[in-house]
Amino acid sequence: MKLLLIEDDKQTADFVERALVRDGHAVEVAGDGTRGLEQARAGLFDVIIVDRMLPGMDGLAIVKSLRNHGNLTPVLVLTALGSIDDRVDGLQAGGDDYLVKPFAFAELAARLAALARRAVAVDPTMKVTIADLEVDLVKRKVTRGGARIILTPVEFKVLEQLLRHRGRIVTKTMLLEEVWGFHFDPRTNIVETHVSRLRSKIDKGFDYELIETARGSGYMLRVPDAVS
Amino acid sequence: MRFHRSLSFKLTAFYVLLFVISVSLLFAVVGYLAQAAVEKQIRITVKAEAETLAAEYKATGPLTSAALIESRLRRGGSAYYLLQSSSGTAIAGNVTSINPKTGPSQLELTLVPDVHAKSAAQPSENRRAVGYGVKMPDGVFVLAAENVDWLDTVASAIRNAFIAAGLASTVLAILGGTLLSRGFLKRIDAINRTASQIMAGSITARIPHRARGDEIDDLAANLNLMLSRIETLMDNLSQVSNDIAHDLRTPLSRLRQRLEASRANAVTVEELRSETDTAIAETDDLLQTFSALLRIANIETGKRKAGFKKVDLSELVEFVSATYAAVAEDHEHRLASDIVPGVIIDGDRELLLQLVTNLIENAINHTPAGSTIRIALQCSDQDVSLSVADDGPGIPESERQKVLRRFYRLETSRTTAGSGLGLALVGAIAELHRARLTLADNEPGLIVRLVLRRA
Repeated sequence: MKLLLIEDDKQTADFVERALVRDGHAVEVAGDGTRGLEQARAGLFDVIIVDRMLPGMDGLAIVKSLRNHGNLTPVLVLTALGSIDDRVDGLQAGGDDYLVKPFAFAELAARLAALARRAVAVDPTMKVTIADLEVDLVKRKVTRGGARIILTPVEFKVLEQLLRHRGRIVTKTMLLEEVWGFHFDPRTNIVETHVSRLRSKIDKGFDYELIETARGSGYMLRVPDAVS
Repeated sequence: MRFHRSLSFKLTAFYVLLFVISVSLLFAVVGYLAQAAVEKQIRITVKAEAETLAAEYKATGPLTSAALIESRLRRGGSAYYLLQSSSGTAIAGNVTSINPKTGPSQLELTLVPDVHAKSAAQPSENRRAVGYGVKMPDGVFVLAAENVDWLDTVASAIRNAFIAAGLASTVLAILGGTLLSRGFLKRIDAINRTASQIMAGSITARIPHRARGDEIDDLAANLNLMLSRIETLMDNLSQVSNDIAHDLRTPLSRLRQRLEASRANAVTVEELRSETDTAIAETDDLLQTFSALLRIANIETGKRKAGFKKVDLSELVEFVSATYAAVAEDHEHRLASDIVPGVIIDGDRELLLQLVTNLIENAINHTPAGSTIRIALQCSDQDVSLSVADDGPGIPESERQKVLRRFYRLETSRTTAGSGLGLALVGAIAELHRARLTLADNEPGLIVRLVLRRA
């Protein structure tokens, strides 16, 4: 992916840039808002990562300006710790996702992948088939190997998220936000609890495990080329 | 403070100026009215005299009236009479002939040397007088007049009296004004001194005032109340800062020890990685504590109130309990819910979600395996009651209010995970929604109840 990182903190910028390059992305870095906006307009990027607080020009102003000029490149807004209104402000300004600093790099990588893909194809499918798993998103019917699987509404929502990002990692935080609407960390393992229940219903008794745990970062619904 | 710029001087000067103006005004009015009243009286008298003389003349002729004038003149005083023939010659009287004019008039009269008069007035001396003249059908002119020179004397006496009284009063006004404003300013000074003391660091200083006093005492009392409020807030703030410093130092020290130990002891890369992972997890806990603190502070500003919307509390509580039923089961707890459908309130959905979550997680984390947690949502005409109850060890009555404080943790839960901020956050969210939050004995266990207003 070709990425633009607009971040004034040199250390954070270096850390993120190095990690992204190691993952095989092409990264451009801008150290202040004004230059960031120029670069964003000049180049074609898969995703733009912009810090909320910037010298020169505020991160939200950059997003607004881009959107006003018809630039629809997905934008990930980085916000400060503990400020609940930042997220709402960021999304209202036209940002596509947000991430609270400091963050784990795996979290950033997962969100970038999700954003880039969302831009390519917003999934209009109502029926999804992965290996021998069939999911009817409209009728909320799940079968594997022809056998009907009964899921609770919460489990179905978790599966839906994994399906939307199939083949990619969905982090715990992404699940908390999208399934539960939690923009805080709960003190119990609600994600683990529900994923393990979902997994026991979908994978138990089958040779091929569809739900994979990415240690320390999240879960992934595997898309086996060979099987499908 | 230069004297002429002080409030005391300004107040006094204003007071004196006002006084002088009012005294002058009083003098002008009194002087004018007195003079007018005397002059009016004189006019009435001279008119009556002149008419009497005219009637006498008509009835008895010039000789008797001349005799009458003579007898009047013999009585002395400041009266002037004149009987003048049609040719303009004085027949009788004590003044020289004048140009006859009927009716009332202001006159300048010349005295005739008078044999009867005891006064030694100079013949040439002119006298100001107010007179009344009557012309007879045969051309004879009768005049009665009264000297008004003395009126000037009276007027100047009145003026002198006023000036003397005015001066005395001005002195009194300056004295009184100074005393009054000094007294007033002394109290302002007391307020100023207290303010300086507080700025110098003694926050406990208070403005002296009388219990039942005037507006300044009221002002002082109100300022004192405000100071007390500020002092309480400052105490809270320093309490919170101390708590933060203390409660964050412990995990930070632990983290440091761990890093130091792993640096010294870890031999393989694998060992170092696992130690680093633990350190990262501990850092995340710390960040979460910070996040919770900032969140509480953010909620306490009340800004979120602007974003209040209609929230289906029934749906929200149902959703959270459906999620946590599975979690409770994993922790070997039982979770039961009794939720009335269709309860709508005005609120912040995200915060209410966190409130309900915190209460349920508290119940799961602080009760032993096998406990039952009951979530209930009920409503009356005005109120909505949300409760989370457990049958665990509960909280002693004396501790129930304290657990709402930041970082406050019961002795029994010191060892369990948690920042000690969960209930403080619940308290802040409840406060934002103007909800009444109570902790009570569930016999056995704890019941946390939140009473909100219906939308």
